Amino acid sequence: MLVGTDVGGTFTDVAVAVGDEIVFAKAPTTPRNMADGIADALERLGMDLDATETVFHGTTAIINAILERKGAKTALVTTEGFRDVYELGRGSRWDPYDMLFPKPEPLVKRMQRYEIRERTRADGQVQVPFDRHQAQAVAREIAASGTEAVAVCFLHAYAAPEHEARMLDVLAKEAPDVARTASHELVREYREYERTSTTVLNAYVMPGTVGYLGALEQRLRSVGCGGRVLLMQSNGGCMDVERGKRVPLALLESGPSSGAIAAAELARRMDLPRVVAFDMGGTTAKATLIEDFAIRTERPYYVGGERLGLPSLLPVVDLAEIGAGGGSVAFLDPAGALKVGPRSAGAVPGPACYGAGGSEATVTDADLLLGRIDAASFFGGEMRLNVDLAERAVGRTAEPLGLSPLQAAEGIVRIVDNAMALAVRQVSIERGRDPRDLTLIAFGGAGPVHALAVARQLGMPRVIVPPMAANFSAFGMLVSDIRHDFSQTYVAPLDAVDEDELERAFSLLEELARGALSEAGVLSETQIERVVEIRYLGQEHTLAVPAESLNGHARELLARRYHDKHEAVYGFRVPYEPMQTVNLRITATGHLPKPTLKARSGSLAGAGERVRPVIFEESDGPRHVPVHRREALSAGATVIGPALIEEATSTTTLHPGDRCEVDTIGNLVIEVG
Amino acid sequence: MAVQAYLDAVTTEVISHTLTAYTDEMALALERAAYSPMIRDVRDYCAAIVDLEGRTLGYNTGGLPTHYSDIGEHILDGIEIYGEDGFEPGDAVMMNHAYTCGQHANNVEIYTPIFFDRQLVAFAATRAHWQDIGGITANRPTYATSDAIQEGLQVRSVKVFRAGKPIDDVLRLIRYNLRQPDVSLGDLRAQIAACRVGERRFCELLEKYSLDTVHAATETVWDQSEALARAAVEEIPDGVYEAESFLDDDGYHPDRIVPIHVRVEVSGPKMTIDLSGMADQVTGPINSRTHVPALIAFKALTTPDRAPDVGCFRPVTVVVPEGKLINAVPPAAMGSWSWPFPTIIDTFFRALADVMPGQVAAGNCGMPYGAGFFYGQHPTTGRQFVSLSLLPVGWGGRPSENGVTSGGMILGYVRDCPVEVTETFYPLLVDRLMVRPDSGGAGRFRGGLGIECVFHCEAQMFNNAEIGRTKCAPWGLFGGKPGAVSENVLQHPDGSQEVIRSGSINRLLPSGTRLTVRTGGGGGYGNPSLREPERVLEDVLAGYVSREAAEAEYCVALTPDGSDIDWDHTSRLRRDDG
Repeated sequence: MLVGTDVGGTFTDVAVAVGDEIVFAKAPTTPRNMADGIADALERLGMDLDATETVFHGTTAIINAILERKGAKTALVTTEGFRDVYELGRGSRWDPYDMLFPKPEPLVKRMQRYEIRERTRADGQVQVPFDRHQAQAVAREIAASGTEAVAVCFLHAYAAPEHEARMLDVLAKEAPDVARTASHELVREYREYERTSTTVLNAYVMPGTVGYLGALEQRLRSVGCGGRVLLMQSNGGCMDVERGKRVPLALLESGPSSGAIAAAELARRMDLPRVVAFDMGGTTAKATLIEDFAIRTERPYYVGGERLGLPSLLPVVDLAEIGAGGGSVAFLDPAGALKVGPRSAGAVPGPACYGAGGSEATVTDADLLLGRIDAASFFGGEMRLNVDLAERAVGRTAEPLGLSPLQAAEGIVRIVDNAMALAVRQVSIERGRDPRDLTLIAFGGAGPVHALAVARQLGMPRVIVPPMAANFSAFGMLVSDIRHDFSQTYVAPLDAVDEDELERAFSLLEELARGALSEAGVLSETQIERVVEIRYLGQEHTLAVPAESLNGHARELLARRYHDKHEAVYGFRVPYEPMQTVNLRITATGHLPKPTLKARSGSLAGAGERVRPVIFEESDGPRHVPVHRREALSAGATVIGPALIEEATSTTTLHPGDRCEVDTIGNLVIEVG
Repeated sequence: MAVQAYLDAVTTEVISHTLTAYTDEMALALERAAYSPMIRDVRDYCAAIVDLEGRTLGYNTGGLPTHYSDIGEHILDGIEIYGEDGFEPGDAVMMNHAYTCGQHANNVEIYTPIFFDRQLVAFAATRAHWQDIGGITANRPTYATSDAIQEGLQVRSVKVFRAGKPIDDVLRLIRYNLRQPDVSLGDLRAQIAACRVGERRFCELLEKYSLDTVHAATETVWDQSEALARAAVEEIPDGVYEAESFLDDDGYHPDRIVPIHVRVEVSGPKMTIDLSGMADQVTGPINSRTHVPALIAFKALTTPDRAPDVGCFRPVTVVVPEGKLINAVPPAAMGSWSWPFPTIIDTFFRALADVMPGQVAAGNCGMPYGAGFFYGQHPTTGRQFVSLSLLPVGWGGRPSENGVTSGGMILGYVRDCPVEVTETFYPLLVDRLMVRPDSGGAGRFRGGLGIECVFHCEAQMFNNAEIGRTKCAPWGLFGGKPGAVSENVLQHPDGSQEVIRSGSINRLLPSGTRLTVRTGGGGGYGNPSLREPERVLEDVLAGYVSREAAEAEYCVALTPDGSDIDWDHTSRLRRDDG
C-alpha cells in the first residue's frame, strides 16, 4: 500500500494505491498543523492504513515560508571582505524603464552577516588559512544572539570545501542549538551570489522544516499510517526525511515536480518518448517537456519570480509557467485592451459563477457560458454554478468593446488558449522540438477543457487525458523514484582533460550520491547518469553532454558529442574552436516499486444520453453535442467530437473533428482533428 | 461593427503576445550562441521584427532601451542602398556605420529580409555589442579616440550572406580587421541564426493571419500605447520645466566640463524635450547622433510598465540641433556614445521633479564602470584576456523608500561578473567587495550606497579607467543631500597610492598593483532631519552610515556606546537645525 499526501495552500490531497486500485480524497489544509489536514483527508477514505509501505509527501509549506518571510532568524558567515555579496546581488534590474524599481529584500540583514579570516583561491589552494580562533568567537556571538539558523558560504568552497567544513565543526561545538548548513553541502558550482543565496534559503527554512517533518511523522503514526516517509523534491524525484531535514530547500516545488513525474511515468507505460505535460489549474498553467521518460531540470531558480526573486541553484523541474488558469480574471486595461490574468479570483470568492460574491469575469465563467463545462455537474455536482452571474460578469467586462457576453466569452477563451499555447511552445519550439512530433498530456482541473484548442493551435497530433485528470499530480507521488543531483565545477580545456582525473572527480560525486541513496534505504536497482557541461571557449552558456562509456577516449567522444549537440540545438558547429568543460553533474536514481493500473470496465450504455448546447465558434452559434460520463466509457469506446466527456472534477472538450478512444487503463487518447 | 470590434480586441491581443514571444525566441537563440560577454552576460543586444517602413512590429522582452528606438531606421539605409527589390531570401546585411546609426561601431546590426509568398514583407533584425570591431583599442573608452574611423571597421549596409550563402570576400575583409575574429564572427553567426528564427516565426504568423491583420493589430496596440502616454502627459501640469547639470569632462580634456541642459515643455497631452541648451559636439568619443536618452526618459515617466512600441513615443517631440553632443556630425568620435545618457536622463527627471514629486527619484551615480577594465596576456594560458567588471552603483532615494544599493546601469538590464568567475579566468584576485559606508546621500529616504571593490593584479596587465560623476555629484531632491562621487585609487607594488582620473587608459600595471574602485551613491530624497531617528540608528548599527554622519547629516546623536539614540541630544540638534 502506497500513500501520497500533498499539502497545498487551500486543499490537502491524498492518494492511496492498494494493488491496482487508486483512490483519492481531499480536505481543507490546516495551516497551524499541516499534518491534521492529512489525517482528516485519510480519515475520509476510511481505509485501514496499517499495511502502508511508503508515504510520499509533497508540500507548499517551504516555499510559502520564504514568500511570506516566515522562516528562521538566520545568520550568514562569509569570507572576510565579502559579507555584502549577498546584499549586492548581481547589480541588475529587470524593467529597463522602471526607475523606481525594487530589489529583493535579503533574508539576512547586514548585522547578522559575519566574516571569517580565511581565503581559498579559484584552484582550491589556500590563500589565507582558516582562523579557528576568530571562528570560535564568531560562533559564540551567533549562539548568544538568538539566531536559529546559520548559513556558511566561503569563496571558492566549490573547489575546496575544507574551510566550510571546519566552520561547521566550530559551529557544532560553540553553537550546537543553531541549525547550520554550508554551501558545499548543497551545490559545488561557482558564482558566489547565487551560491550564497541558495545556502541562506536552505538555512532559513531549516528549523521550520525540521519541526514540520517531526510533527508529520508523529501524526502519520497516530492515524495508524506506518512505513517509511519519502519527500517530494523539486527535481522530479523524492528523498528520505533525514536528508529533507538537511536540505529542505530541495522540497520547494514539489507540486510541479509530482505532475512531471506522473506524466513521465504515463509516457513510459504508453511508450511515448516525446510528450509535453500540460497542467492547468485555477491560477497557473505549467508546461514541461519530457523526452525519453526523463525529467529535465533547470537552475538557477528564482524563488518568488525572476524579477524580484532570490536565486537557488538546486535543480527544479524545467517548466514554463504562466499566470493564467480557470480562475484568472479577464479585464480591460486602461488602454482598452482585453487581458486575461495573471490576477486570479482564487478559491474565495472564486469565479462569478460560484455565487460566492465574485463579480469579475474569469476563464471558468467564459467556459460555462460557452457550454464547455456544465453548471449542474461541476465538482461532481457538489457545487452548482450560476450561469446568470457568469453572463453578467462577462457582459460587464466586454460592454465597452461593444461585445455580447457570448462573443466576449469566446474572446476570453481564445486569449487564454493562446497564452497556454505560448507556454507549451516555450518548452517545445523554443527548445528546437517540432510540436508535430509531440503528444500533449493534459491534466489539472482546467487542462482537459482547454487542451484540444492548445494542441490544435500548435499542430500537435495527439492529446492524452489520463484518468482522474484533476488528481493526476497526486498519482505522480505514488510512482516517483528517489533522485539526487550532484554537481562540481570543473573548468578545464577539453583537449587537455585527463580521463583518470575526470573519473576520480565523477567517483567522488557518485560516492556522495550512493551515500544519499543508501540513507533512503535503497541499495539495489540504482542508476547513475553522468554529464559534462561543455562550451566553446569564450561562450557563457554550456550544453550538457552525456559522459557515459568513455573508455579511454574522453576527449574525442566528449568533443564529438558536444559538436553534435551544438548543431542540434543552435544549428551550427565550429569544428576548429577549442572547447572547455565547466561543470560535472550526476543524477542518481533509486527505483521504487510502482502500483499497476487497473484495466477499465464500464460500458457505453448510459453514455452520450444527454445533449447540451456548446459554442465552439461564436459566429456559428451553439451546437448540440453529446455529453458522456467518463466512468461509463469502457476500454475501446470511441467518441467523435464535437462532444464533452465529464468526470467529477474536470471536463474534456472535444472539438469538431477530434476523435477520442479509451485505452485499457482508461486514458482518453485523442487524435486532434 | 460588434463582430469587427470583437475580432480586433481578441486578435490584437493574440498577435501582440505572439510577436513578443517570437522576438524573445530570437533573443534566446542569440544569447545562447553568442560569444561576447557583452551579449551573453551583460545582455547588450536586442532582437526585433521590423516592417518595410522601419517601424518595430515586435521587440524582445527586456531588450536594452538604447537599441530599441532606432533599430528600424538603419534598415531604411539598406533599403535605400539595395532597393526594396534588391533582397532575396537568405540574405543577411551588416550595419554599424557610426554616422548613420549614431552609435559606436561595436553595436553591430545584422538583419535579414523576410519573404512571404515570394514578397518582401518585413525584416528580422538583431543588434548586439561585439567585444571587438577592430580599431585603436579593444574596447572604446573615453580618451581613446577623436574620430569614428579610429573606432573600428565601419560597415554601412553591406550584405554578408546572399541567398543563404556566406559572401566569403566580405567575411574575409571583416576577419582580418578584428583582434578576436573567432569571437566576433561567432557573434555574427549567432545573430544570423537569431534572424533566421525570426523569419520562420513571422511567416508562421502570416500563415495564420494576413499581413494586413498583423499590421492592423500592431497599429491598434500602438494606438493604445499612445493613449496611455498621452494620458500620462496630461497629468503633468502645463508649463516649461528646466534643469541643468554637467559631465566631468569631454573625454579628451580632463578639465573641460560639458554642460547639459534639458528644457521640457508640456502642453496638454504633448511634450517637447528641447536639448538645444546642451554642449556642442566634443573632441572626445562621447558624441552620438540619437534621441535615445530623451526617449528613455520620456517612457520611464509615462509608460514604464508597457513594452516599448511606436505608440509609446508618439506624444513626444525631441529637439536637438545639428552639431550638438547627441546630434553630432563627422568627424565626431562616438566610441563611448552612451556615456552622457544617464546624466541626461537624470537631468530630465530633475526638471520634472517639482511637478511629479511622487514619481521621480533623486540623482543616480551614472555609469557603473569605474576602472574595472583589465586586459593583457594570461600568464598561464598565454592567451589574451579581457576582463570587464561593471561595478554596481547607488541609486537615488525614492519618494517613499531608500534608494537601491547596488543597482545596475540606468540604461537597462546588466549584470556584474561574479568574483569567482573573475578569479577563475583572469590573473586577478579580489581582496574585498563591500558596500561603501556614507556614500548614500542623506535624506528622509537615503540614497543607495555605492560599492568598494579591490582588485589585486597577480600579473602584469593593462587598465582602462572610465570614470564619471566625480565632479557632478548625484544630487538630492527636496532637501536631500548629494551622494558620494566615485573614486579610483591605485596602490603601486611599493605601497604608494595614486588617485586615477578620467583619461587613464592603456595604462600598464605591474604585477602586485592593487586598484580600489569606489562607485558613487545615490542622492537623498527629502530633508534628512525628517528621517526617523530609529532608522538612522539602524543604518549606523548596520554600518551603512557612520556615527559622525548620523550626527552631522541627520542630526541624530547616539549614546556613548553607540547602541541607542541619545534622544535629548538628538532633539536639541534637530531643534537647532530648525
